[in-house]
This record gives sequence, structure tokens and C-alpha cells, in this order.
Amino acid sequence: MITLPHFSHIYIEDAARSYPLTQALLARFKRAVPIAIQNYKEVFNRPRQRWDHQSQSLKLILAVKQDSFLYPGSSFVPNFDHSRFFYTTPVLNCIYACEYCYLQGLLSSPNIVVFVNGEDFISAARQEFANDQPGYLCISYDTDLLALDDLFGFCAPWVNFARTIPRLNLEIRTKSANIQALRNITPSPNVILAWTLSPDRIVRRFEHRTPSLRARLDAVAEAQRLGWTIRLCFDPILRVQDWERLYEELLEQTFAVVDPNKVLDVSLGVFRINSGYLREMQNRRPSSKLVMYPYTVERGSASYNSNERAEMLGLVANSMRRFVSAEKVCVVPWQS
Amino acid sequence: MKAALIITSLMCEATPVVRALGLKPTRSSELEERFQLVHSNNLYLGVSGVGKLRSAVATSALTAHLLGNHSSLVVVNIGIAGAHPLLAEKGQLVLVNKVRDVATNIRFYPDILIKHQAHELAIDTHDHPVTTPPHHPVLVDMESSGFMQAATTLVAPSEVAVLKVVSDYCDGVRLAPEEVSALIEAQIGAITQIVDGLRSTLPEHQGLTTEEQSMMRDVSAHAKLSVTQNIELERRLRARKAQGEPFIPVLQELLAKQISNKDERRVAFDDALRALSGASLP
Repeated sequence: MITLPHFSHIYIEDAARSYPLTQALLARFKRAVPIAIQNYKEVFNRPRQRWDHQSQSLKLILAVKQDSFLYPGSSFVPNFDHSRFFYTTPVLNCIYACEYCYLQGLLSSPNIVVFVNGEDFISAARQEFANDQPGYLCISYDTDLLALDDLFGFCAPWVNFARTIPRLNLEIRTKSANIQALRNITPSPNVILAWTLSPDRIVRRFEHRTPSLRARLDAVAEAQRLGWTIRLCFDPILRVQDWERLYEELLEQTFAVVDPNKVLDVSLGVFRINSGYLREMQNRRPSSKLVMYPYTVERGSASYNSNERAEMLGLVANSMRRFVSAEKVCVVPWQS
Repeated sequence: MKAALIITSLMCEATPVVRALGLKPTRSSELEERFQLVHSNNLYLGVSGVGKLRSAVATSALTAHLLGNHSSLVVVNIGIAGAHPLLAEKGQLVLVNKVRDVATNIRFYPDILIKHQAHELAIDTHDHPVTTPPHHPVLVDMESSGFMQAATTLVAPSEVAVLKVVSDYCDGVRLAPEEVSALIEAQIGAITQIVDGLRSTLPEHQGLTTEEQSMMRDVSAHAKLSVTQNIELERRLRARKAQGEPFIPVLQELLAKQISNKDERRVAFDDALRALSGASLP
């Protein structure tokens, strides 16, 4: 007896049933068992769900988002000097299983919620950014939209929307190597593909189910060749054994493949997390040494202690200068 | 140790399961006597009586009872159910993926994570016997919602299952006990396979052994740990165990320390937590 494959069951809100994306997903997963629900929260937010158990067979939940299409940006992530900073969540959760991911502390379940009314999200963004003020919108924070693009196809509509509002910077953050999805989309200069890069040992040890560093770098290089605007995110930097050498090598490997002159900017950040989320992650994943590490907690934020943070950021930023000018490097604050 | 608790409403539903799994009476307490608990090899079965309230009472009492001795537990409801004649055939085994309490319209969703050979359907739980076929494609019974409400108060929705054998078409015909047993008996292979599957996919909770708990109590008394510190220490010890790392030396070191005031306690406790968390990541 073994576990069912991912998406063996699809929970469908009554309101979501008629949407084209719902129909397309049901056609794609013909063998999945459809289960009617009234509201996605009655499945997704059930109490006492076990993240480790449910991860063995992820389920898909199709829902219609009714309100709150845009949220103000979190202070745990950089705003790149934009005072009007928002993020949006067309999908909740990710197919990747990074041990340090805050979603394990934020959400009740690893199952994936897809809001099938993607056009309502775009309408809300169009309204928010209708005036002439510049803005910054991240659409791939609580998920990895590029990794899931073959299933949901959310990237192209957002890129096409951003093309109509040049004063908006739209970021798609990813660890994916799904370059094929980008080949069919015309790049827009105000759409930033932001790749999270980690030393390969960290990828293999902590970023479960993600593409290798090599695959990500090849995807970045290809995206550059296709004319996309690229951001590199060395974030979170983890204090593993021999971290100094690993990150030094990471920069060497990265800029052997990626043209630093064509990179928009680089963000650097040490691992940091809301201490409440960390506590939840520790309850859910006690076997993870990364999660159980004795972080310093100050004013609701958990991270390495101040000396360690300064040392880590200092070394990586210093090494970065060999490749990228200082004004292109953004250091992410560790606390809100 | 991973265990399974099976709840049936009738003894005639239980009999084929008891026979197939070789379960024996375990009447060591009034509770076990009350629900006719039988067991073998970490498999338990109790009989609740008919109706959602009785099912809820038996499920909550026995689940809470067994969670005291087993770090991981799946809780399974097995019984018969009615169906619309066009929906399912008599004798068919159904793994329920949605339970609705008709009186309250509260819905429950047992996670289905394992491969299985049964059909999957939703079930409506009624307060009274149903004598006319349901209008929509569901099974009907009188226990599932009570079982689910009680079980998911104590364990995760991925640790519960509802298995039903279709017994009638809601036409008011009452089955004799031996007919009920025969229906369950005919599906016993598939039923036990699902119970085994549920147990096998269950991640093991890392509980502390009796000796480890005893040592923790000694440390707590020696260092005069507060309630909060005790909780944190146990959490860290469990995590250390889940990581496959030793922790007895850390406790021994704490026991050897002279602790005579709050400051010394705090320093010793923090040192112990640091040692339990590991100095660096691999």
C-alpha cells in the first residue's frame, strides 16, 4: 500500500465550478476525485491538520477569492525603495518543500489553494495602480507561480497586465527552472523575474523538491537571453557548516553563467522569520535541525544573533562587489 | 508505537473484524468494559451503540484513552450504510470522503492519502433511520458525523477514516445481525488493507520513553524548572529524539550543576537548550 499521487483529490467550491480554469484542471486531472465544498476554508483551515502527513499526497483546492485581492507588503521582505508596495496571493502554498519556508508556520495545511478568478485579482491591481504613482507588486510570495505555470497559467496574464502600466514594477519570485513557460510570453521591462539562489548543498539539504542550482542558473541565463529583467535573491542566507566557502562558490558559479551587467539588482538577506511562525514550524517539524536551531528572538522576529547577521551579510556583500556594483545590492532588514 | 482504533456501532458489524484481526477482550477498566474493547498487536476495536451521539462518546472516550499509551493513532469508523439504488450496489465497500450532519449541515472531510480499492462517496448522517432514498448522490447513516466530530477533536483529519459497506436502498427493510456480519465479512480483506495502509503512512510521533520522562522529572526537580521551562525542555527533547541525536548527556550535565538561585537556573537552562538545539547546521 502506498500513498496516492499529488492532486488525487480536487476540492471545488460551488462558486468555482463554472470557471474555465476549474474545467481545465478537471480535464487535466481526469482521475482525480472531485469533492464539492462551500468554502475553501472548511477544508484548508481545518484544525489539527498534520503538515508532514498531508505532504505525502497534496490535494488541490479550487476557490473563488471574494475580497482582499491585494495586501500591503511585509516588512520582512525588501520594498526596493517603493513606498506603494503590495503583494497578492492567486495561489496559496507551493509544490516545493523548503525547510525554512514561513508558509509552514503561516498556513494550516500544505494543500494547494488556487483562486480560479485570476482576472478579479488583475482588476483589483488595475484599480490600485490606476493613478500615476509608481508602485511595486509581488505576485509570487505565498507560492511559486512560475513553477506552477504549466498548471495554472497565471504568469502570462499578469505580464500582459503589467505591460499596460509601465510605472508599476511587478515581481515574480521563483526557484523554478520552468523556462519553457517564459518562451511563450513576451518580456515586459517592468516585470522582474526574481530567482532565489542557494548553494547546491543547501538546495539538496533544505530546499526539497526544488530544481538544482545548476538548473536554476541555466534558467536565469536563458531568461536573460530572452530579454527578461532579472533580480537575484541570495536570501535566505543560512549559517550552515562552511557557509563562507559555500556562498563564495555560489557567487562564482552564478556569475560564471549570469551576466552581472544585465542584472537589475541583487537582494541579500539572512534567514529571518516571525517568531510565532517559527514556533508553529517547530511544533510541526521537530526533526528539522534548521527549524530547531537556537535563533535569537527580538521583538517578534527570529534570526541569527546580531554578530552572526553582520558577519554573514558583510562577507556575502563584500564578495558580491567583485561582480555587481554596490548600488545594485539591497540588504534586507532582518526585523519589521 | 502506531496504533489503530476501530469504532463500530453494532456488535454484528464488529464480529467479522474481530475474527479477521484476532482481537481479544481487554476489560481492564470500566471504560474498556463499557465499549467492549478488544485488541491485538496495537489494533483496537470498540462498539459504540447506534446513533451519532453514542458514536461520538465512544470515539472520544476510547481515542483519549489510547492516546495516553500510543504516540500515533488512526481512528476508523466501520459500519453499514444505506444508498440510492443508482449510486452503489449492496455489498459495495465505500471510503467516505465527505461527511455531512443533516441536522446541523456541518461538514467533515477525512483526508484520503492512501491508494485503495474502495469506491469514494460522501455520506449524510441522519438523526433517525432513513426509509426513503436520498435525493442526491450520497450514502446515509446515523453515526459518521458524530464519529468525525469526536475523532477530529483529538486527532488530525489525515488520521481518521470512515468505511461503509452498502447494506440497503433506504427502503425500510431491516437486516438481521447475521446479514450485517456477512456484508462486512465479504469486504474484510479490503477493510483490513485500508486500516494497515492508514497505519503505515502515519508519521511516527517521537514520544519520550518512561525512563526518559523519569530523568526529565529528576532534572526538573533538581533545577527547580518552571512550568514553562518544563514544557520547553520536553519540546526540545522530543525534537532531539526526532533528529536521532542523543540528549541524555545534556540532562546529566544539567543534573550535575549546582543550582541555588533563579539566575543560575536561567543560565543552566539556556545552556541546556543550546546544547539540545545543536551548535550549527549541517
